[in-house]
Amino acid sequence: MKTAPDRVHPLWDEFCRHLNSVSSLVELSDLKDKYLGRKRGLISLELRKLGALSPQERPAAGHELNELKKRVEKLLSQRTGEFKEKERLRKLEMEGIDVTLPGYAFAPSAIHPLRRVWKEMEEIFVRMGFAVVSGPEVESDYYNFEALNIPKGHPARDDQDTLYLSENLVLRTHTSPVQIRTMENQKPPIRIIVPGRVYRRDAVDATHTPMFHQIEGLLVDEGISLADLKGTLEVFFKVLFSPDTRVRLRPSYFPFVEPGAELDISCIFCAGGGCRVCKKSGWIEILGAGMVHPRILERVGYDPEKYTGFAWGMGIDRIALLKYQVNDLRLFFENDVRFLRQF
Amino acid sequence: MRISCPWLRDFVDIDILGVETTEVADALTMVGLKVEEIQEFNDSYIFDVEVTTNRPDCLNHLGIAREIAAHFRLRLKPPDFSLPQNEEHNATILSSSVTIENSDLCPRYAARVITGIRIEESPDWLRARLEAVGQRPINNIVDITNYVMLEVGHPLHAFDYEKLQENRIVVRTAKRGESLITLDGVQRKLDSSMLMICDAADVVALAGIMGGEESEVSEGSRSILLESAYFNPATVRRTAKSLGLRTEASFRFERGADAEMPVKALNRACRLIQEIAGGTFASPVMDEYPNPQPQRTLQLRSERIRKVVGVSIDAEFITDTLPRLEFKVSHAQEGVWQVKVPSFRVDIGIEDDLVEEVARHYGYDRIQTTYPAPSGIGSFLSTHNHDRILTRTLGRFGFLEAFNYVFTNPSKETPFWNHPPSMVAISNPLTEEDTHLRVSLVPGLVEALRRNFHRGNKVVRLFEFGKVFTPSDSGDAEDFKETPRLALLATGEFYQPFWNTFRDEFHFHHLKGIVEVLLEELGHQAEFEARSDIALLHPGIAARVLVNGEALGVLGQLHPRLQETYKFLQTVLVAELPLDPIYGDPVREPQYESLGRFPSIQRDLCFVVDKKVEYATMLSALRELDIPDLQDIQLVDLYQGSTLPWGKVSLAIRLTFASPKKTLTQEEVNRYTDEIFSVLKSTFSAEARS
Ligand SMILES: [Zn+2]
Repeated sequence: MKTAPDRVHPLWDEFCRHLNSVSSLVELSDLKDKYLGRKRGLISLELRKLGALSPQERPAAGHELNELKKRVEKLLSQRTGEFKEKERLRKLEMEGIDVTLPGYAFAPSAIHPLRRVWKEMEEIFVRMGFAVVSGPEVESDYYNFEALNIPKGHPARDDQDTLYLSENLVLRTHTSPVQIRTMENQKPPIRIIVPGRVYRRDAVDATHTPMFHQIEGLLVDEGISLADLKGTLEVFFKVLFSPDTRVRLRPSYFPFVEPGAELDISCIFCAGGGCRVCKKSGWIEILGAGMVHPRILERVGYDPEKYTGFAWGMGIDRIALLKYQVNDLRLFFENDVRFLRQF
Repeated sequence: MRISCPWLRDFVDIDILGVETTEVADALTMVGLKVEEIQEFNDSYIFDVEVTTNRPDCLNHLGIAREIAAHFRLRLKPPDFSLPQNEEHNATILSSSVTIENSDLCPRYAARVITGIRIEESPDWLRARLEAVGQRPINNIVDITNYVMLEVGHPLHAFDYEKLQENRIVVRTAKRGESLITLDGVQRKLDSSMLMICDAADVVALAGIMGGEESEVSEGSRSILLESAYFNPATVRRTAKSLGLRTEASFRFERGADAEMPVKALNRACRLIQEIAGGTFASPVMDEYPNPQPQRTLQLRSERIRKVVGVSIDAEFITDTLPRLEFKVSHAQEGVWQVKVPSFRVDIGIEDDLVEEVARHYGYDRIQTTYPAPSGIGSFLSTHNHDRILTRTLGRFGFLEAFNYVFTNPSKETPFWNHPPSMVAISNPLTEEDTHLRVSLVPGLVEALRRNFHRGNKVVRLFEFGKVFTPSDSGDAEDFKETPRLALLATGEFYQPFWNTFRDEFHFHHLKGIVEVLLEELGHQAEFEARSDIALLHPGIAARVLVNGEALGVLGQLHPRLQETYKFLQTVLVAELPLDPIYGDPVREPQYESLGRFPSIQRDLCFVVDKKVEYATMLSALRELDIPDLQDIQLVDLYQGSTLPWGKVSLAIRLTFASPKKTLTQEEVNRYTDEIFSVLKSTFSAEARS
C-alpha cells in the first residue's frame, strides 16, 4: 500500500507563527485551545472533516492530520515546560536573600587561660601515669613548712612571704603539703601531681599576685633518680610546648629536696637563639625540682635507702603567660569578658 | 650578689682559660650560682649572681672564685690570712678585754686594737672595687671592713676604741629598758632576747646587725677596736626581724657565717688597715672561742651517687672535685669515702648533700635522661567529670569562668548581708583591702561585674569555682570549714545582637533554666522554693534550690539595694551553689530507654487562673492524677495584661499524650484533657479561655 507523501499542512506554518509570538502561559493555553480545543480547535475541526473524504483519501489525510496534531502537542508541551521553568526561576530569584548579612552570633565558648593550661597539664601527666590529688588551701604551719624541712627561723621562709591566719595556720604557699599528706597515707610507689591554689604575701604587679596556681609532682619508688626527673619533665614539656623543646637542669636549692635543681626549657620564642623574653640566654627558667630529701622520706616512714623520689613544682600562671603570650599576670584575675573570650 | 671579675682574678686566674666572660658566667650558672645578668662596668664585667639561701659561703668573691676554680680545675689563691705584726717592737699596748656572757648566742668573738690610724678617704683602687659592686665608700676603716666582708664573706665592725667605757667588750643580751641609737640614727628599743655588744656599761652595737652611733668610727677617731665574731644565725635573724633592720652583716650571719673565719678575716683587715690607714697594733688578737666547733665528717658512697643521680661517676672525679671545694676526702673502702666538711659549708649535713656537690660539678647537663618504669595508671580527681560537665554546660550558655582572689574585708562585705558575717581573718594582711577570707563567691563576681561595666561591657555572664572559708560557731580561730562552691552571675541581653530576632533581658527564669540543666546534667532533679529572706537577693525574685528536699544554694536577682550601692543600671542575676552535695555520686553513664512505637498526640489547654496560684502547685496536682499516658506538660504561654480581670493570669499548657501499647484515639485524649481541666477548675478555680 502506498503511503501518502509527507507534506506540510497549511495549519503548521500558521501554528508556528502563533507559537513564536506567545509570551506567557495564559497565551500558550489560549493557543492550545485554538488548535486543539475539542469543539472549535482548528485541528479538531479538520479531523472532523475527514469523514467527508473518500475512503481512498481518508487514510493519508488522517495520517497527515494526526502527525500535525502530535507535533503541535509536542511543541506546546515543550514550550509550557520552558515557561514554567522561567516562572520558577523568577520566583526563586524573588526569594533570594542577602547572604552577606551577619549570621547569628552564637556566644562562642571560651576557657579561662589558667583553667585551659591547668587542664592541659593535668591531662599530659595523667597520660604519663600520674594521679591527680588535692588538699586544703589553709594549712598548718607543720605541713606547709616544718614537714618540708623549713623550721621556724629558716632563711627559706624569707623566700616565701606567708599569709598567716594564726600562729599555726597559713594560706599554703605551695601545694607541697599535699605531698606529705599523701606519703603519710600511702606506701610507695607514689606517682601524683597536685594542682591548686597557693598564696604569698606579695603586692600585686605585672609579675606578682598574692594568689596563684601551681602544679607539683611527686614520684617515689625504688630506683628513682635525678635522671628520671629529667626524662619525665622533658617528655612533659615536649608535649606541652613542642617536640623541639629541650630542657636543662641546673643545681639549685629548696629545703625539701637534695640534690635540688631548677629546670629551664629552651626558649619557646626564639628556639634558643636568644631574645627579650629569655634575656638573650636562650633558656627560660620554668620550675624548681629535686630529689625528695631523705629526712622527709624518713619522717613519713619510708626507708630512704630503699626508696628515692623526685618532686617538682611549677607555676600554672607563669606557663599560661608564656603559652598565650600574656604580658601581665593581673589580667588573669580581672575577669574582663573581652579578655576571657579570647581563650 | 654583685661579683666583680677583676676582683675574682685576685683568687683565680680565669684569663689562663682564654674563654669569654660569658663562658665563666655560664659555668657558674651550671654549678648552681645563677648569673642573672652580666653588666659592663669601667671596661670590666660585673656578674649579678643569685646565691641561694643555703650558700652564704658564696656571698663573697673568694667563695665564687672557689667554685670557678673547682669547675675549671684551676688553682685557688686565697688572700694572705697570716697574722700581721708591728714592724717596731716598742709599740704601745692598750688595755682591753673581751667577755662573752652568752656563748650559745655568740660562740666566738675576736678583736684587736689598733692605734694611731688616719681616718681619711680610701685609696682609689679600694673605692673603685666597692663602687663596682654597689657599695658606697665611707672612710678607709669602714671601707676596709666592707671590703673584707665582700672578699671573704665575714662581716667585721670597727668601734672607736676611746668611746668604749673601760675600753672593753662584753657580749650579752639586752637588759630591760636599754636602747641604742644605731648608725642610721634610729633609736632602737631592745629586749632581753636580743644579743648586744656592750662596753663596761652600755650597749654599743646590735650583735651581727649594726653598730651604734655613739661608738662609730669618725674623722676624729685615733684608735679602733676591730671586731670579728661569729654569732648564732637564729639570734641574729630573730633580732633583725623584730627590729625590721636587715643589713649586709645580718644577711650573712643569719644564713650562717664561717666559725673558723673570724681570726683570719681580722688578720686580713688588720693587714689592709696597716697598709692604708697606718697605725700600730695596740693589742694581740683577742680570740674568745670557748667551745670550738667540731669538724663534721660524713660518709659518701659512690653507689649512693649512682642511685640518686642516676649516673655512675668515676672515683677519680669524686676524689679530685671534693678537695677543690676544700672537703678532705679519705678512702674508707672500695667506693666509700670519709669526707670532712669545711667549716664554711653550713649547708652540708648529710650524705646526699655531698652527692649534690659531686653532681653539680659533674654537670647536671651531662646526666643522660632516663624514664621511671611505668607503675599503675594515671587518674583524675573524682570530681573531674563533674567539673568538666559543669564547665562545658556553662560554656554552652555563654558563661565565662572568672578567677577571683579569695581576699575580702568587712566593709566590702557589709552591703551583701543583713548582719556582718563572721569571717576568717588574715593575721598579717599585706593591704587594708585584703584582710579576710571570703564567705561567698558572689561579692567577688559583683566586683568583677563592676569592672566590666566600667569598661563598657554590658553583656556579662560569669561563673566561678572556688572555695569559701566559713568559721564555725565555736569562735575558735582555727576551727572553720573550707568548702568549694560554684557561683553564676548574668546580666544584659539574653540573645546575642541580631537583626531579626526579638530582644529579651537576661532574667530570673533564664538563670533558673541554666541551674536546672546544670543539676540535671549531674543527675539531680532540682526544685525551687520562693524565698524573701536572702539578704543579697530581691525579696520577690529569689529562690532556694532544693534537691531531694535538701537546700542546695540560692538564685535570684541582685537586691535593688546592692544595685544602688554599685550604681548598676541593669538587673543582675546571681546564683551560688555548694559543690560537695552536687558532686555526690560519680557521674552516671546514660542508660537507654526504649522509644515509644506509637505516635504522640498534643493538646493545648488555655485557662485563666488567679495570679497567686503557683505554677508548681498546679503541676504537682496534675501529676497526682497519675495519667500514665500523659507524657509531658509544657507551659507555652503566659499572659497577664489589661484584657484580663485584675489579679488574674492566662496560661496555655501543652499536654503530650502517648501510650506504649497502642495509638491513642481522639476520644481517649479528649477524656484525659477534660479530666485535667476539671481538676484545674475545681482545685484552682481555673476558667477556660479560648
Ligand atoms: Zn628567647
